[in-house]
Amino acid sequence: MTVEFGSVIVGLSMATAANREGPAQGPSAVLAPPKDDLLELARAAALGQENAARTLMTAVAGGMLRSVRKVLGAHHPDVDDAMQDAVIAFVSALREFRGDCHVAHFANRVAVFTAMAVRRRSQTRARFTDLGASLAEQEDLHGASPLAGALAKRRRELVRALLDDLSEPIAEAVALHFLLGYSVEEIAAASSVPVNTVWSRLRLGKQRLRKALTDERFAEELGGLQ
Amino acid sequence: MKSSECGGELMLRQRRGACSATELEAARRHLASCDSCRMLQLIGADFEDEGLLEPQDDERIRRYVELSAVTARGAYGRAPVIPRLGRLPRWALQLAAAVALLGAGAAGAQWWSGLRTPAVTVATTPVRWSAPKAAAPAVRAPIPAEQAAPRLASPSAALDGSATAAVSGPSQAPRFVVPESASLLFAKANDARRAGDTAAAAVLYRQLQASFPSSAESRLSHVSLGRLLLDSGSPVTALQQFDRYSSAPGGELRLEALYGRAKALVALGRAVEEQRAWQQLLKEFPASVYAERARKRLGELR
Repeated sequence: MTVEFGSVIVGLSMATAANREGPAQGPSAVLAPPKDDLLELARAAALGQENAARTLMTAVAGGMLRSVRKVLGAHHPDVDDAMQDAVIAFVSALREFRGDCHVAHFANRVAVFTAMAVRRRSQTRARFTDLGASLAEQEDLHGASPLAGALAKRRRELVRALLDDLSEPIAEAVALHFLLGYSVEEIAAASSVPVNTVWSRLRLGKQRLRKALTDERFAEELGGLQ
Repeated sequence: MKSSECGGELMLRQRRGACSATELEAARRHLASCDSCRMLQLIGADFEDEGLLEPQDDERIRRYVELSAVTARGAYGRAPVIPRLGRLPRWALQLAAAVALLGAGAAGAQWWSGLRTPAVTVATTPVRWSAPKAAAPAVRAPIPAEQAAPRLASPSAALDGSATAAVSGPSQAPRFVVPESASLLFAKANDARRAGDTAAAAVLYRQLQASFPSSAESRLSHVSLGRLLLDSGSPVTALQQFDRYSSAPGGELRLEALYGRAKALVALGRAVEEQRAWQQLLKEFPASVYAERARKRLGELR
């Protein structure tokens, strides 16, 4: 998808969304984060400085919005509500933020957590109000072939359904690793838990994912699509 | 290594465009033997384009930016100070407090429309963040006249930064008010840009860079000013701004800076450098929103 060189606000946010870690540091480098430009802003915002909060949000909002959309679905009706909840939760949590991870990672983690909570509420609401409405995403193939696009869409639905089913800590680890592409160390830093805890959570999450993606029903659907 | 113990570091580096050619080959071989990484790659690809930002998100993000300011003020701002009123009965003190709060609330009500009341608790263990306090709507005070962006006699000169800025009015000396903070200057510059006052925005960005050269806002402003200069037909100085941002490693806006650099070189007709710029963008961000455009342009340049 080509985006014209338009508004700076979207440009700033899109760059944040696309560039989580910056360029490679060298062939042998691990995923080492560069200096966090946003840490000073986060500290100033935590002191109640509104303009610092605005600047900080300008930098992280795009990544947060993408994170919410990945968890909920790009066209889910609650994306905006979830994002507003996430913004409030993120800013409110800054005073307790110790800088153990990148500010952007922390912001995206808040967004993921908030979106998962919203998703669970939506599912519950739909069940009890008997709307019967599917919250499935709209077709958005991004240029893929119809079959590949349909398979990708189905896998996304399965992954999201699994996130609803898993316990919150495991769902969070799975979402940060698979949807946002964070490493084990980055998840540990963002979640303030030991690396071994993240390993355990991901191990369980991967088992459930593997099962969901190789489930016989999915295979039957694949057969129907081919 | 068991597949369940594979953290997928190579796959994640590949996803971020951080792999050398050797590592890419190693990643390809690794995929053949690690079902955990195959799953990581498959799901990553499925979600990569999900929820890409679009130009119409600009307005949405503006609202989130304002919401963050309200939240910061409400969560961390100082409580209103009620002057001592002597030995008044309790009911009188309570009435005075209510009147003070109502005054602030009425002034902010119109601005508050369109924004949601801060939500109830989102956090549960183990996140450990507390419920956002109910924030009083914050009224954004108008910038006092003496702090307003100075109006300049020569917009193009101001944009290039090559001439001393002359202020219209009785005094010919530049009237740049000493800024309160880098973030305030940055906010003022952004306000001026959004209002279409590109000359004032350019001056404020440069003032920010001169006054707070090592601040985060100053670094961000290189991209903002670069884009503004490019859109205003000053590709040479735009290129300088993008290069200043890119001269330091990393950065949240590195992609934007690389893209701006490439566009500036297009405008300058420097085809060889332009080609290298697009190649660098693709090398560092192979899956970015500008990747397709970069590949198309490289095809045209061959």
